[in-house]
Amino acid sequence: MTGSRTSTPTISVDGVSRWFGNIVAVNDVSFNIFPGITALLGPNGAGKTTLLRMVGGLGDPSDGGVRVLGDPVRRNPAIFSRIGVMTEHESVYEFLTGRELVELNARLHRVPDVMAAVDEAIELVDLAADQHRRLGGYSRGMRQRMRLAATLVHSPEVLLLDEPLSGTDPPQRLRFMEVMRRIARQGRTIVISSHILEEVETLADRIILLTAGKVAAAGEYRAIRQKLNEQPYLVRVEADQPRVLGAGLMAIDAVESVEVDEDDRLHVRSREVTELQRALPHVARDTGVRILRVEPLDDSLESLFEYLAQQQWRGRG
Amino acid sequence: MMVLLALSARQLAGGKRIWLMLVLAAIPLVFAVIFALVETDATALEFSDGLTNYLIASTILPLVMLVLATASFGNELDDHTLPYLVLKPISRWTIVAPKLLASLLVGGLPVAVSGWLSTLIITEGDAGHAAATAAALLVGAVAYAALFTWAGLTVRYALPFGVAYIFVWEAVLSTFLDGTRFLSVRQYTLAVVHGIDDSRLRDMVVELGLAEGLIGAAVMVAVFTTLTTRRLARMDIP
Repeated sequence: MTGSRTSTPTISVDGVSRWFGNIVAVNDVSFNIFPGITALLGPNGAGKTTLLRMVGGLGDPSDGGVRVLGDPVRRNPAIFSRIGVMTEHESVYEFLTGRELVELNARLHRVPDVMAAVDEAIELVDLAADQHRRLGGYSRGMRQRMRLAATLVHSPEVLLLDEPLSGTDPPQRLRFMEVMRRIARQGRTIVISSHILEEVETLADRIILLTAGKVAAAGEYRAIRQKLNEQPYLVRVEADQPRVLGAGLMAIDAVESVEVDEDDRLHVRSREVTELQRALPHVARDTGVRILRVEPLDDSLESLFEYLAQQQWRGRG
Repeated sequence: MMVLLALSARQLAGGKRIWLMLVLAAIPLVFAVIFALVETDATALEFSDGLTNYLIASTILPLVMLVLATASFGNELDDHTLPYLVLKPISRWTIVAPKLLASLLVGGLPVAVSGWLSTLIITEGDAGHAAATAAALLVGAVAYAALFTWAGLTVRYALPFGVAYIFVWEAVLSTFLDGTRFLSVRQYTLAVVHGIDDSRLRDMVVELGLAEGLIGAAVMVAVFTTLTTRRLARMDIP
């Protein structure tokens, strides 16, 4: 990402592809990542996990290369003293207590003061009170937090977190974000993968958008958000007088087009969905139409990714 | 290494599986007690040799080691906990070695103790006979641990593979085909029993000498441990 930067990237992904039989999971992807928080964003099946696994040393690329902190990551165990990886699987050794899991990681990382590091990591995820309970009895969110503590216990320079917020509730997410920001301020590199834009929009400085195994967009969060906002939204409206409502909606700037389908339902296309939401009840009131149902047809992250990918291919063509 | 040994031993010793393994390991003791209590035509050595050859070395030891050693990596592959071990600044060898030791401790040791104790009961306290049985079973356990740990990491259906190995290769082929005897853990085990205590297994076919048995087992351990270590370094970690 951000190829204009002149400093040495923490993570360098160069022409990486990965295929499984006939399926191409990651297709000729290149980017650099620098200190700070970077979100790897994409719909399910976009190749985020496959890519993150290759960056984390859990799998080989079929083609291309990955370097972390200047070194290859596969068959180079020494690099793991500087990297922390939290995989997408929420599995833990269920017979261990939360503290034992963190301690296991600290000892395998040969942390100098194990007990102090374990205390600090558990404190960071706010699980001191439950640290002596078996992981098998933890809730999903608690497991994720204890896994995060185990990932952080050796103070890695690079953190790779695959869907770390799954299973966490809103207060836990806020706490997680606070922890991530604190770590990022120390000059460390954090890569978080997610398929939920809202999950990372307040957290990430930079975003890499993946779709169908390719980078659809990469850059500062605001620029990406702007691109996302350019996508027209499609909303289906059912009303008792659809044509009257349609005529009224066409008078609004926010509305790009209105069509009536064979079931007399309106398909309203708009680039300013917030404005449309605000105006719709007013138009209905002014035209004396009763709205029966409003349904976004493509208000999903997948459709946004699709749109961005199409824009990208058009740009290349 | 001790951290991983403790983790692996706890992992293998947990759950219902360990009880089944302990019951299997205790079967020779039941036979020994029956021999001690019931009149029979067989001499103590004949009975002890039969028990060692036909029950412990050919069935109980390989089955116990198969179940435990394939699980030592198999559990982590199934529940996706292997990244906790491989994403650490330690050599792959220091991950594999504790796995081998753990299956040896949890599976091989109880079988060896059972073999030792049952021989003691049958031979009315002959420490030499009992020690030969126990030592040979430990040698066999190490070789099986190396083979089945590799299978657990590499072979998709490790248990059926292991059962085929035990009941086709070891029980049938290595008994009837001369060349394959050099590649049979059971033959190594019997060779060590006979090599340490030449009064044992006299009436049975022991094709290999003590040195051959020990070298065969050592080669097997070295080859399969190397293969396991290489596999761990090169595989995609699930």
